[in-house]
Amino acid sequence: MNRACSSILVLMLMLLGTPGPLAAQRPQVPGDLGVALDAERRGDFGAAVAAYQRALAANQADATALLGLERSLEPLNRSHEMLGPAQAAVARAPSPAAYSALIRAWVAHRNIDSARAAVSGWSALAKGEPAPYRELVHALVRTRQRAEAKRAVEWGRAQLGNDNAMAYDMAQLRASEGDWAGATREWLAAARELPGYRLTALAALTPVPERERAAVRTVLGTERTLEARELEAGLLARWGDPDEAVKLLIAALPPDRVRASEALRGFASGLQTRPGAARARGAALEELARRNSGDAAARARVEAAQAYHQAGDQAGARRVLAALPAGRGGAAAAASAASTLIGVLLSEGKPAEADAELDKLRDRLPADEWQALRRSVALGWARVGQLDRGEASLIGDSTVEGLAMRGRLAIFRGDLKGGVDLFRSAGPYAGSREEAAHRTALLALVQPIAADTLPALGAALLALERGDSARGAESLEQVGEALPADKGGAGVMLLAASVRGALGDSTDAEALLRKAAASEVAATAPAAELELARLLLAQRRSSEAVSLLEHLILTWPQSATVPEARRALDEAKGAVPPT
Amino acid sequence: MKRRHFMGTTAATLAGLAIPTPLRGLAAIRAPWLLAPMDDTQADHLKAYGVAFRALERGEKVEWLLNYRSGSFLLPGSAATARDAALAGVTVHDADAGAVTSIRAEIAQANMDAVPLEKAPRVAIYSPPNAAPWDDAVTMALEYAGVKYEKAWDQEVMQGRLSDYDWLHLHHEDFTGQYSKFVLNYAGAPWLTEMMQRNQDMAKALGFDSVPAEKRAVAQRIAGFVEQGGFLFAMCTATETIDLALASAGTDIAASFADGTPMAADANARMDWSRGLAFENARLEQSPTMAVFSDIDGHQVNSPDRRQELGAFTLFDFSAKIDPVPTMLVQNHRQVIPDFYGLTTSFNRRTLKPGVTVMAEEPGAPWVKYIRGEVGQGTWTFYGGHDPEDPQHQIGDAPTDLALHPHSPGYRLILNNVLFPAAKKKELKT
Repeated sequence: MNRACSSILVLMLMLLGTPGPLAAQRPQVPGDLGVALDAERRGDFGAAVAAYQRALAANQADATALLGLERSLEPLNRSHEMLGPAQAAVARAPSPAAYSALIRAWVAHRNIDSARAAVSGWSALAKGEPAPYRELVHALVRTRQRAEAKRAVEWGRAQLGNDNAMAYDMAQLRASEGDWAGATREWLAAARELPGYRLTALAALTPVPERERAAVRTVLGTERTLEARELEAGLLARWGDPDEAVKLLIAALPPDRVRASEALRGFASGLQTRPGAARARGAALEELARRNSGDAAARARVEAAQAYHQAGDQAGARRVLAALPAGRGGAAAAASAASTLIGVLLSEGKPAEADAELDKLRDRLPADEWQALRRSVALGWARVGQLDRGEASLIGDSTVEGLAMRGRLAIFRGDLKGGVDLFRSAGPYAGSREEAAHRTALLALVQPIAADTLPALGAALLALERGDSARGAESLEQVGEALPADKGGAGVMLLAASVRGALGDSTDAEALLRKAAASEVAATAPAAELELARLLLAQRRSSEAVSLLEHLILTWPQSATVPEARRALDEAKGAVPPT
Repeated sequence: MKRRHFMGTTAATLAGLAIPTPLRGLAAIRAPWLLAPMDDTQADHLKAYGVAFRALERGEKVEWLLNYRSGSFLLPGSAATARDAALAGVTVHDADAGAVTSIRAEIAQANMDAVPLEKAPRVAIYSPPNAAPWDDAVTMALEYAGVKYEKAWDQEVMQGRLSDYDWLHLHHEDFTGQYSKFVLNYAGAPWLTEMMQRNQDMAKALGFDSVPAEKRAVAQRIAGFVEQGGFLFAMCTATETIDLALASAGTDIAASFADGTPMAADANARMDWSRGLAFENARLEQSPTMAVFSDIDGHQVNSPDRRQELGAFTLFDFSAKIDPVPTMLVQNHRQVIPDFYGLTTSFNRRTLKPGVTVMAEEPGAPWVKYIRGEVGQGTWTFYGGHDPEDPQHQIGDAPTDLALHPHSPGYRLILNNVLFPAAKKKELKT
């Protein structure tokens, strides 16, 4: 904040803090209107109605009193009493507020002809404006008269000579009937009238059921505008095909750089937090960079590289980073690019190169960010089997996150006692929530093991860390077999089963889960039975799953897994709607 | 391996750490009875009814302890029942002879009674084929509690198959044959088109000119089922429209979209209320566009100018020893229950026949919520509203998951009705 802003803020705070005289200068609502507003605020609607009525007796055209009366009658279920005051207000001084109240009153009385007459009266004051018709439509929708509301839209369109008028309202009416194709036509019209409706349309059409989506795309396909393509691409991305969506959008982009950039930026922003859409976002940002130059292009490239990296597309990230001209985009962009590059290098299994890049960043990044990257590099060394180099990278890192990382490396080395001690020193809150949960899970796995060191387990966990799940699972099985079931063997077996399941090897996963379940180790057996039941349910072997879940509930009634087991049992039996 | 898999497994492992030892004792239960308390100590009120029902299915005897700890069940102390309760998560306590004697002594001295339940009733739900279970509160309650039922629709009713059942449930069927009067507001909606086609096909297959005529015939068969000793439980629109259909024999009360002709001009004057079960002197809704049938419903949810806000309804107390039937039907751990809308939400007192027993009302309001009566050898119960745990229920709402409402007092009223026909016959006379 600059100095001028600070001064203004200080002045404002001083004024706010001033008692008495300044407060007294607040405008006071006089007489009955003030009484009415106060009663309404207190929820005393009876008193509010009486006071509003007194205010209207003094001035029938008082819009504040008229609308206040309408608000207060509603919770008392006396809305029908609005007709007289609204008629009087219109007769005394026709105004939009008076007419809108009169329209609502006639609709509440189900007298649509009179409501239309009021619309015509208002329309004479505001020629060519859709507001009177829209008021009628809203009043009809509020009272659940949808068919009449649609007729009101059509009437308004005819009167206004505009087939697209009130498209926003018609779109919602069509959608409420499940007419998604009709709703799409209306949304397109609404977005033509006011481009801001495109985002509303996107949100409104996202829930279209799968069976209706082709019809929606057909309607969108009839319009050959960028707006239609933007909407289609946005919907496609939200319906689970972001890669196809970005291709569709890029193919439809006009030569106009500004408009194309706007479309690409809007598309990319919409995907920022959407799971599974990082690659498509990267592609949109890469195209954005290609269509721009200078710092804007550089910043887009950095963002694209980050998105590709997040999507696991390291080649894409490298390609974009390679095209990044040195010195463009400012210091922050350069630092972000370098951080992204380190991530890419680590993902590619090149910790030495990442280490070298990190050294260059020492003076350009805040210390905590630099240390976080340093820990990533340490893990990168571990992933290529160089635990010594990893530990060396952590020298001088006295943070709790550093202790936690050293604990992980110790466990990869097979030093279970050392790892557990370091985890304890790090405490339960070091790092992100995900890291903390991962650490707790590791503790639960290794603590029952009697031995202080178990290199085979460390190697198996390291294999998993490197993404070599098949080897990791095999090694875990061997470790699990070698350990006594109640001294960590069952838990390791359960982990091996989970890895097998994730690999799609359900036969092995089932066999391992059965072994873990049969161990009757209190800490593991119920969890293994629950996992096994879920596996069986996924294979539509419901009766086996039901037996297993029943066994779990009856055998381990105090297990924390029992509520989950009961839920799974209910679902398996069809006793509750499927989750 | 993806981290989340590892996390999931290890989290499950962690969850299991709290377990001390496996339970091996179910087979060793020695107490002759199990008490399923139905007060606030019960872990799952709704599933407790299922445990009682299944005990009856196995031929075991159950006692319903009316007003004792909010309508508890005294279950046999068999291994099967103990197992069933454990699986369902239903709270049960061992009760030896001394404990049961003490309970009986308490019951004898207070407004309580012990009603023996003898035989699991054969339950039918009036529902079209392929209907999902998630839009009918009774079906949801039965599914959740694990009470067996079968489905019966127009064909089964007209073939006389209702005699196969003890208990019939009707939900949001419109027995006036007007498709709940949704036609004008939802014209073109796929679900409505399908519903209309299905009903028209059925009317044709059964030899009727129109859906209203066919639905009236179905309503008459259902009334005959009650006359012959059946138990009828109806909710939502079915309550109001079955009586309208019965009372309108020979009178056209359907709009033209349903049968090609408008409602008879003198329809109100020609209604013969003596044919109905519960209501009299009601006025028919003339507008074909408004999803309202008559002024029987106190809340008129679809009438903008007559719609009433939801309040709460209060269950009546009855004498357990003198009036066991209504006492059974109001067993609950809550006396005051939040109200919930349906196409028919409540029943105007003014339209109730004199012999109708009111079991729940909104104090001070002109409507009641829960009523019953007897016809011939049978009995009927009407409960206004659509879904006790979805007060504002709208078309297309997500289904109610009763696992999130295991203590629902509104749903308990439904399940009271399911067990009520299991009571020993002599106890049913009031």
